[in-house]
Amino acid sequence: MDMIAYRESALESEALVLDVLRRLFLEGPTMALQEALALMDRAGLELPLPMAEGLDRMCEAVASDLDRGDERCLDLQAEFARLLVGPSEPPALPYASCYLSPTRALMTDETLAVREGYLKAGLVVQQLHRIPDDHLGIELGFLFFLTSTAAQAAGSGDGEMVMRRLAERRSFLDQHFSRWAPRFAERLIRATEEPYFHGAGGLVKAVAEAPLA
Amino acid sequence: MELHVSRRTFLKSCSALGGAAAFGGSGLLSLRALAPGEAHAMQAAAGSYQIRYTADVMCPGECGLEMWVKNGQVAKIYGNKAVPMNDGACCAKGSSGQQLIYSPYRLKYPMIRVGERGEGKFRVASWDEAIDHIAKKLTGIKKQHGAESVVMDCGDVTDRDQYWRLFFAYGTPNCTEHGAICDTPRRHGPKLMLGGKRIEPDIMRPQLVRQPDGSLQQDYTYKTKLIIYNGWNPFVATRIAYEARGTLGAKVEAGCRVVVIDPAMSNTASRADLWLAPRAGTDGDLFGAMLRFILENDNPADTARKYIDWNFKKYSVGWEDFEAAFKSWWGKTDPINGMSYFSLDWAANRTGLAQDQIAELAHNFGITKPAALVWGMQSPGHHFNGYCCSIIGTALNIITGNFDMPGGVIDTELVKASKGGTATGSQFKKRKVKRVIDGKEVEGEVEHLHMDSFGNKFPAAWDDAVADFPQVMQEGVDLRYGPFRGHKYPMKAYLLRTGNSVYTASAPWRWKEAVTAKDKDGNYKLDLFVTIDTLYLESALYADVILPEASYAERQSVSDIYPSHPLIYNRDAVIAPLHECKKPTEIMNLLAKRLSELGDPDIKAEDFWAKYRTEEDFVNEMLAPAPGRPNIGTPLPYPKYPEGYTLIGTPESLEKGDATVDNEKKQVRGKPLTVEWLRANKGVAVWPMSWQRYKKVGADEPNKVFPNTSTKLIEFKFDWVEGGKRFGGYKSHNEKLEKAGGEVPLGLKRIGFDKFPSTFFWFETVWNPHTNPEYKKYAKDFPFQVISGKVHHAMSGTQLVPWLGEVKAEGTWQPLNDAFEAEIPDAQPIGLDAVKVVKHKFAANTYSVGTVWMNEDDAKRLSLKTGDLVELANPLGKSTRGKVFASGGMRPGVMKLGFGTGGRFSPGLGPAYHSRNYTPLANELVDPDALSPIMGFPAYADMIVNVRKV
Repeated sequence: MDMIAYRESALESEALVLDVLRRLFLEGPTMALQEALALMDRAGLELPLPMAEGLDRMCEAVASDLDRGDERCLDLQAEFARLLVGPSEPPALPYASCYLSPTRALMTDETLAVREGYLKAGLVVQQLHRIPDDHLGIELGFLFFLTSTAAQAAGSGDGEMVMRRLAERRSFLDQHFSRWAPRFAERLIRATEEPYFHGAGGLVKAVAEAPLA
Repeated sequence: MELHVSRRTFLKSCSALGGAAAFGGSGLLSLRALAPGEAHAMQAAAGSYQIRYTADVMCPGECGLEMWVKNGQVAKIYGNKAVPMNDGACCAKGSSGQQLIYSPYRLKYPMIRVGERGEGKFRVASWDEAIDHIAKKLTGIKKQHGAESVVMDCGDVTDRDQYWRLFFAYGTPNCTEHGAICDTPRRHGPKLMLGGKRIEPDIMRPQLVRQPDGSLQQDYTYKTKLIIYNGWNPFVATRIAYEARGTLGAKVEAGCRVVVIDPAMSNTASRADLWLAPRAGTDGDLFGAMLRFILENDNPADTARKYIDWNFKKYSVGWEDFEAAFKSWWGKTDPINGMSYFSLDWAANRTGLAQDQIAELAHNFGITKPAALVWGMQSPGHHFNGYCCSIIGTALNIITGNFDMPGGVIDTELVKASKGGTATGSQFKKRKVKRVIDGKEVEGEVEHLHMDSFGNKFPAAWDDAVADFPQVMQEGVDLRYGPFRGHKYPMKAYLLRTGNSVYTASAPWRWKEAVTAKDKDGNYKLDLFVTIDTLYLESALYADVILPEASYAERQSVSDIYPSHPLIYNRDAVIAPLHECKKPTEIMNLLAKRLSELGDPDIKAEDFWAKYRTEEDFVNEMLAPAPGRPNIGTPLPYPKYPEGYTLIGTPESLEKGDATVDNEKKQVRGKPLTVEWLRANKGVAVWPMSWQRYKKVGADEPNKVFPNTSTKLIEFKFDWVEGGKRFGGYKSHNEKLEKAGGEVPLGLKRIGFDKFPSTFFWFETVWNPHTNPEYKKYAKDFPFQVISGKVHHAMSGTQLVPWLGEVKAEGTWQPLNDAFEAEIPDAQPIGLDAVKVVKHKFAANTYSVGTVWMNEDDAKRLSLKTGDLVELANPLGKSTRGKVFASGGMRPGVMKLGFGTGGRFSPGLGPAYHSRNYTPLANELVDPDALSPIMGFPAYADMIVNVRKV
């Protein structure tokens, strides 16, 4: 019971990080996300150091410039578009297939393999065949799902479910996510001078490389 | 109160903001839980192929394709054998479609500009926000300036109807497309004399032909004995896929001789029996000399001189007037050389060809039957006076008996199936509107507000004058004709879809000036600039909003690229649109709905979102009138139905013979063509071919159904009165001038005309020191003529596909790159992945880029060699840089640049962007004020330059 209680809070902390990241990469740096980051109480979080540092960096980048409000948010959104979306060639493409597939294109066999993984967990991409299944935000959403449901299971004392979800998460990280996300993160960090995205890149790298709970 | 967000409250608040369930629920944003059985069904469907029939829009050839779809993805691409245009063939561009569809660099989300225009700084927006932004601007503009202040330009893809429909309903008649900057002078002769547009050789094979036994058979027989391609390059740069295959087929199987007239040895010229290289911009001179030679030397009694088939007079009107007007020039002396117009020596002096060559060409064209004289987009299409050449060329084909004869020439506009119907929304242009002019309220129809048709410059610009938009953005519109004479309005919004007018529609520097011009308050004069596309092209750099459109594999329409007889094929949506891209029907409905919500009384649910719930609804309405062509010609397509009646319905239902014959409307109606029918029939509907469609079957008299002129006869006169009625292609335009007290439009003023001519006319081109005395003074300082031409492997879409970019095409697209490193997809040996992206170092001169193609003797004289970087400068003080490609395949004194191959300043174009500083931008040299006088078309190929080594 103690073990499960410990894991619940650590898992919740990791889920929070994954939630921040999936929202950022799916929706961009919205005003709502910025406000939430600025107001976040990080004192009680139980995170591995690289994750804590990445999150701190993002939160501080937001907090230090909070008085610029909408204008600051607009800057971040423009930088987000330049880095990840376009319309010019974005330096940090947020799709696994661009790093792992021989063609570097979208919707490749690598994408299908990710789809298979979701299917096994009983999930499917909401906009199937439209948004590539291996979009960074969706993969982070999958990790969030595995982590948060593990935390829920820990809270309700379902140790078997905790272990199952964590095994699924480990497998997804080792077999897929960690093979490309660090490269993405490096490109992101290299392509910008914005501390906020340095923090986000560091956080992605930490998720991919840190031994999650 | 101090706020702290704990991990739990953070997750809760964010989830609520994101619209998903809170942490206590699934918390999914882009994933959803599968319903019971859904996973099993998905796994069962995985791995099987579905074959979908569609068309290729990697280039404007729109070849019929089969796309094999597996797991919701395009897995394989083949040619569709059922489509005669390509007869099952699929070129490198067609088969590389996945590289565009699945390019990570295509447009994915709506974007809103956050920097200045041209800065290229955008943020992602939701569709709701983007549509709302556009709709609010359009609503404000309509209230303040009138709907006519908005221009919808549908660029270079044929499925434009959803956008036009919406904007016609909104109330602007100013809806245009790429044709306006393609080749309008080239189309002028067919338009005036036949009511058509494009004359092509009869070499589309197979053709579905009615046999003597009543059956229908696919006929692969070539009949053409001579093809003369003037300024036309079907092996590389036309959108008519069958012409490349058909030209070779006619050569090999019918012994057809091919002559190419072009200052450059094009790919087509390299396979021709004869290449003639005249000076640039002298096509009309050559055609004029051919016509004069044929008229002077025709002898019906001598089989070696029987050039003219005088039967043409039975099916035409006005030849005597045309001939007299043409001959009137023979008595005049050309100030440039002191010779009689259209004589052999005159033409030789101007074209630089030998008199014997011209005489032989004219003789061979006159004596060889069937023959085809075809003139091109590049020339005369891109010359200021291309109209004259086009008119003479049309006349030459007609009087020699080649028009609509087996193996002769076909005006494809006259014979292709009708499509669009009421879906086009042209009925909205008839809506009554009022404007206050000089304090007086005036009523007219929406179409009377058209900026060209009733404007002060080009009132006969029936294909619109897109190249004039920069001037209109700066100076506004001045209506001088029609009911709204005296009405002035600004151009306040420009919506550009799948086009790139800032880069292609005359001089980019002028466009940039116009779209970034600000008023005294610091606001952009052009209040709204929207681009809608799959790719990020130069124009989008200046856009306020970018809307990502579904790629050609993700949206539906129909294709019918210049056929010899009616046929339509389905350009099906084979996969769902990727990312946040939307189909034209969706975009139309979204914008319509928002405009309506904002109070636009002209936009109604029953015309848009309630009527077209899917794109298939829209396409079915487009197909309803097909084929819509009369049952005419030999052999009669459907002998069981009355001759001359309009045919409507699927080929199957018409062939059965139980279609309804409506004697009152003179229609034969079978079952309407639908998307469903096309999908069940390999995507294509083909109705039978026939020839001599201007005459009654079995009788030497006109059927008065074809061609599509005011008299339903071939017209050599353009404005005349007979029996108290007025006729001709210029009739309505001259009537406009007359009602305005004879006010002469600026375009005509420039060439000294006081109205549109009633028959043959002639005027000189611009920036040509060899033919126009006005420019003789520049000859010494600017000794080179510069022309441009398209290389299909270097169009925007294909420039995103590196392996296409690598392939050299002609002198304008050669391996002259600077060394660079790039990731490129590489074909792999059997057994491995078919394609693999590899990081590749391209050494210098191993990757094809746009060049400055020039004659090697000229180069030697200037101490230049292939690969040298040079600067071309024109008398307007504009310049561009590129590397020399020196060869014997270029007429001395002429330089050729690729159209769209250089100076690509959009960062969205990969290797093409990186080579922008040493690849020439042809349009930078274009004179934006030299718009051709009738259609307002840019004189792309009329310029002179000097050259210096950089």
